[in-house]
Amino acid sequence: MKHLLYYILIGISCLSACTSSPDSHFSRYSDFTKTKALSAQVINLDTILFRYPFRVTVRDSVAVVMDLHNIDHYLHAFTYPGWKHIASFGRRGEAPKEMLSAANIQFNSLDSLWALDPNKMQITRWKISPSTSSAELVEEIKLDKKLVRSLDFHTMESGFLIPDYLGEHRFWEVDGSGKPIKSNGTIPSETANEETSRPALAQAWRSFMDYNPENGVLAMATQLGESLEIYNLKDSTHKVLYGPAGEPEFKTGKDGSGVPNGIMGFSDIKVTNKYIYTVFQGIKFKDKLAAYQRGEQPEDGGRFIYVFDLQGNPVQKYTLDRAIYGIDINEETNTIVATEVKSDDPIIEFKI
Amino acid sequence: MKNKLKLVGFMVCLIAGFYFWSNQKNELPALVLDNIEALAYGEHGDRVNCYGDGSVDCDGDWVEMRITGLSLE
Repeated sequence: MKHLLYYILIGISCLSACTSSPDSHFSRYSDFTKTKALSAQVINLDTILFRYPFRVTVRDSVAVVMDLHNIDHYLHAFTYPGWKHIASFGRRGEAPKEMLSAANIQFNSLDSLWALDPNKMQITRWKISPSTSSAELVEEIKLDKKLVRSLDFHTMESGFLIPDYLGEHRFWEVDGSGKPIKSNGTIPSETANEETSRPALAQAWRSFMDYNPENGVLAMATQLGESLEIYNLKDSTHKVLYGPAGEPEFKTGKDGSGVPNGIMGFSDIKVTNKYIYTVFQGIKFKDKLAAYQRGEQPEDGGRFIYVFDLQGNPVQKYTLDRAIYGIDINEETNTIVATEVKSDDPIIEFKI
Repeated sequence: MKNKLKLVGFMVCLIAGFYFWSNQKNELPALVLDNIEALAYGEHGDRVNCYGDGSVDCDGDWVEMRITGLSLE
């Protein structure tokens, strides 16, 4: 009888071991203490036609919009807040001084508008002159082949921060000549194991990043799933947060690349002196497919802005009346400028 | 002794039943998803296709979806 009881206990232990969920050692968030609905105010533009305005950035009296799919120019400068067209630049093409693609921009001053071209693997610096309605290419920095393909970037005190493309690390510190000098971190997956293809994992964990040199906070948000990472480069601390949708889901294709599954997650991220702002979509890929099957065009963009403090505590959830992609935050005027892709009114503002 | 054996047998059945029930429940969404994909594209292997204008990186282009199987076009 005693032996029988032992066998049963062993059996139960085995069953519970087999059915236990994967290790979940990163913090989770589910609710925001404050929620608020925001209504968009449409900005009237004079002449520019956008195809897919992906990013917007404002510095003093100039705003720059980056279009992901424009057939003529990737970059467009406007006066702010008047939104009068100053210049279109970053011509699409294969010639020298032209761009093959654009992934993100960084606006530090009128003579330092940085743009990342992942297909050409270079970062360019532009000088914008509102008085002469022009933009001039000042500098081209070739990125080292070791980086393979760079999908986002941020300027730092000297050089750049760039996410790792091969999945061996999380991000690189790159010097001013485009050479990687230091790798940092690893992809904080709870499910990946030694058999997981690292490049596929890195593609699934493709993240948008923002860095604030004032407080040393680098934040990264995944395009798939709902994962957020906060690195404080001043005190070398690191926090990983998972939202209800969890880490990016993917399948590994025959060619070894990552095929998105699950949901479209974050679309943009901004770190201010006090908070981290993220645009969140949360739309399932299978719902997108179902929409196509019904002959409908699925929505593209996020209807939520999630705000976290610099330690990663959820603070505020804004629900929007438009689906947006890129944001610029001004906490002094309580204004969020946002882009809406595939819209006749592509630039909008929210008052927070 | 007989009663004890009956109790042990009942507990084993209860645990085994719960185990299979919970496993079935966890697998259902993946099964449904697979069926939806199979219906949409047919079982055509796992060739990767890029579809639409969007922000997902796909072989040097930005697309709305990166999918396996046949394109939606």
